[in-house]
Amino acid sequence: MTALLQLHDLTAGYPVPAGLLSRDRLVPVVHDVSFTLEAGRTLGIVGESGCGKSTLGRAILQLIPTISGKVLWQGQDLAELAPEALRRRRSEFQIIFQDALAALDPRMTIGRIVGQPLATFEPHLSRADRHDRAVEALRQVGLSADFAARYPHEMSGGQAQRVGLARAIIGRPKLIVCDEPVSALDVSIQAQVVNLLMDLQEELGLALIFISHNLSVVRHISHEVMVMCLGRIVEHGPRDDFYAGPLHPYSRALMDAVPEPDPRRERGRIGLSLPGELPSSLDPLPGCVFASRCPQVEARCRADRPDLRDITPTRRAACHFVEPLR
Amino acid sequence: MTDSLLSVRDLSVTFRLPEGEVTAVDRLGFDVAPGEVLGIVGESGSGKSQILFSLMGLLAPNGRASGQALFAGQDLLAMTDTELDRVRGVSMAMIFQDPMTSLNPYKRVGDQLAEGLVVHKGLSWRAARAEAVRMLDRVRIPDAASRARRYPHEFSGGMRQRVMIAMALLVNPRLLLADEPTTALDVTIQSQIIDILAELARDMGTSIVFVTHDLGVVARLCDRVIVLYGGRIMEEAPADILFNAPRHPYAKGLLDTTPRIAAPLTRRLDIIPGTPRSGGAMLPGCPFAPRCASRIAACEAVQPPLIGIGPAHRTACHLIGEAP
Ligand SMILES: Nc1ncnc2c1ncn2[C@@H]1O[C@H](COP(=O)(O)OP(=O)(O)OP(=O)(O)O)[C@@H](O)[C@H]1O
Ligand SMILES: [Mg+2]
Repeated sequence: MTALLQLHDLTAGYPVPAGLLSRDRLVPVVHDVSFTLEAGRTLGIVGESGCGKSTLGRAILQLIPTISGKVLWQGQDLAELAPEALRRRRSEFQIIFQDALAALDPRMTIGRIVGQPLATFEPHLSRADRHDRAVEALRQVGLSADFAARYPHEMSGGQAQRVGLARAIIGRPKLIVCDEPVSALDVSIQAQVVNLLMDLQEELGLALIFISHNLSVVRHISHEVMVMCLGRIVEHGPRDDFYAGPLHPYSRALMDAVPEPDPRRERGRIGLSLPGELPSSLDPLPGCVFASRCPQVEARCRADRPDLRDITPTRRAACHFVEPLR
Repeated sequence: MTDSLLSVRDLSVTFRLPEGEVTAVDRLGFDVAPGEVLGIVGESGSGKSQILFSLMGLLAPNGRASGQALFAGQDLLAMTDTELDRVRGVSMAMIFQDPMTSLNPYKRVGDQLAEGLVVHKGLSWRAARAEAVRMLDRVRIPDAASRARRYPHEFSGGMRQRVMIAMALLVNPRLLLADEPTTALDVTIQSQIIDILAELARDMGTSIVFVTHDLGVVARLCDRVIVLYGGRIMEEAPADILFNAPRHPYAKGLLDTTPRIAAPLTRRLDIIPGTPRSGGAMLPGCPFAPRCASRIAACEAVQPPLIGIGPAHRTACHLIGEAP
C-alpha cells in the first residue's frame, strides 16, 4: 500500500528578488527532509523559532516552492499536478494556524467562513446544503448551530481556533497541518483544543502534522516526533522512545530546558542552562547545525555535517556520536 | 508582617469605559519579603499585568488604583509622580515581555544603560558607560564592550531581554517586577534568563515579583505563588505546597490541565470547561464559579473570603474551611 504522505529529500524555501534582469533566486530554508506519514497518525515537529517548522508545513501543502526533492501524496508527486488538479486535491490536505482569528474574514458570518471551501471542492452543492454541512462541521468541533450566524469578532481565541478547525474538516480531508494551533491559547483552553484534535483524529481517521515549540503538548498528541534545527531534521522516532531518551544532544538540550510544574525537580536545574544561541540560518556553517552550542562538540562536528542515519529500525538521528545499533 | 519589603493591601484597579467601569484587580493583598521570589500565575485577563502597572504608576490613563502598597514603608499609590520617579530610578524596576517597550531603537544600547546612571546617580558619562558594560557582562552578553556600541535591532530577542534586565539591574533595585519576560523566548533561552533572575535573588537579595501564565517557570523560579483568577486571589501558598497539595478547585484544575513532559500519559488531557472570564462587571460570587465543577449555590451568590488554611497558605473557596 502506498503511504498517505512521503517526502523525499525535500528542500524548499522562499524567493528573494534578484536584480532587474535575472530571475528571483530561491533561498532554501528547509533542507533534505525525508519522512513517511501513514493515515490516522500524528507527526509532531518541534524546534526553536526560525528552525523552519512552519516553512516545512507550508512546503508540504505546496504553499511555497519546492527547490529539490519530492512530496508524494498517496504516491502522486504534487509538483507534477496541473494547478487545477492541485486545487481539487486541496480538500484532502488542510492547514490551521496559530493566529486563528486573523485567518477569518471579519465581514463574513462564521457559517459562511466554515462553508466557503465547499464552493471550490464541491461546487455542485446548493447554498442550503452548504449551510447544513457548515453547521455539521461546527457541531463536530463542539460549537452549537447558533455560532453559524455570528461574526469573528465575537469569538474568543479558543472559539476562533475551533472555527478554523471546522473550516479545515468540512472538505473531509485526510491530513491537517496544525501550525502552532494552541500556542496563543490559555492553558485551560489549550487542553480543550488538543483533546478535540485527538477526538477528531479518531472519528475521521485524520493524519496530523502538529508543529509546535512546546514539547509537553507534542508529547500528548503525537505518535512520532521529529526535531528540527536550522532547517534540518536532527532526530526522528516514535514518541515514547523519544521522550524516554532523546538521542541527539540538541533534543536533550530542548527537553532539559522545558520547565515542568514540579518545584522539586525544577530547583535542581537552576544554573544548568545551555549557554549561547543558535547561529543565524542565513549564513550556514559547514558542520553540524548544533555544533556551536553542543556540549559534546569535537573538531569533526565543525567540519563535517553528520548524516541523518537509521539508529534503530524506527529511530533516526544526525550526530557523529550516535552510532547505529547493530 | 513587619519584615516585608512590599506590603499590598486592598489593591483594586478599575478602568473607566464608555459602557461603565470594569474592575481588573479586586481588593488584593499580599506581601513580598526581601530576597523572595513571588510568582503570580493566571490566565490572560486575570489582572496580572495591571497589578504590576499599578505599583509602577504605569496604568493606562482611564485606569485608577486604590488601596495601599507599602514599599519599604512608603505608600507607592499615594506618591506624587516626582516621588515615584525617584523610587523607580533607585530601588524598584520593571521588565516586560517585549523588551522593545523599554528600549529606544535609535540609541546605542550602552548609552541607554549609562543614561539612567548619569541622571539618577550623578555619575560621569565615562564611569556610567563602564558600569553599563559591566552590567551587560553580568547578564552574560558575550563581548559586552563592543555590543554596548550596537543598536537594539542588532540584538536577538534573548539578547534584548538581557539588555532590559541589565538596565533594570543598573539601579540595583531592591524590588524587580517582571511581567512575563520569558514568554516570547525559546525554551533554551528562557532557561538562561531564569538562571540570571534566580542568581539575582540569591546573591543580591533582590526581591522579585514574577508574573506569568506558565506554571513550569513558576516551579523553577518562585518561592511562593499566588494563583489569580478574575482579578482575585484564589490561592496563595509556598511553591512546594501549591504544586503538591493545591486546595482551590481552580488551582487544582490549572495544574491538572497543564501537559507534562515527564509524567505518565493520560489518554486525554484533563480540562477546565468554559472560557476565562474577561472584562465586565464583577460577579457577586466567586469569579471562578461559572466554570467550577464543585460549585454550590453560595458560590454564585457570595464572594468567598480569603482565609488561612495552613502556614503561609490561604485560599478563597466556600468548600474549604478555615484551619483551626
Ligand atoms: N486601558 C484599559 N481599559 C479597560 N480595560 C482594561 C485596560 N487595560 C486592561 N484592562 C482590562 O483589565 C483586565 C486585566 O488585564 P491584565 O492586562 O492585567 O491581564 P493579564 O493577566 O496581564 O493578561 P495577559 O496574560 O493576557 O497579559 C482585562 O480584563 C483587561 O481587559
Ligand atoms: Mg499581562
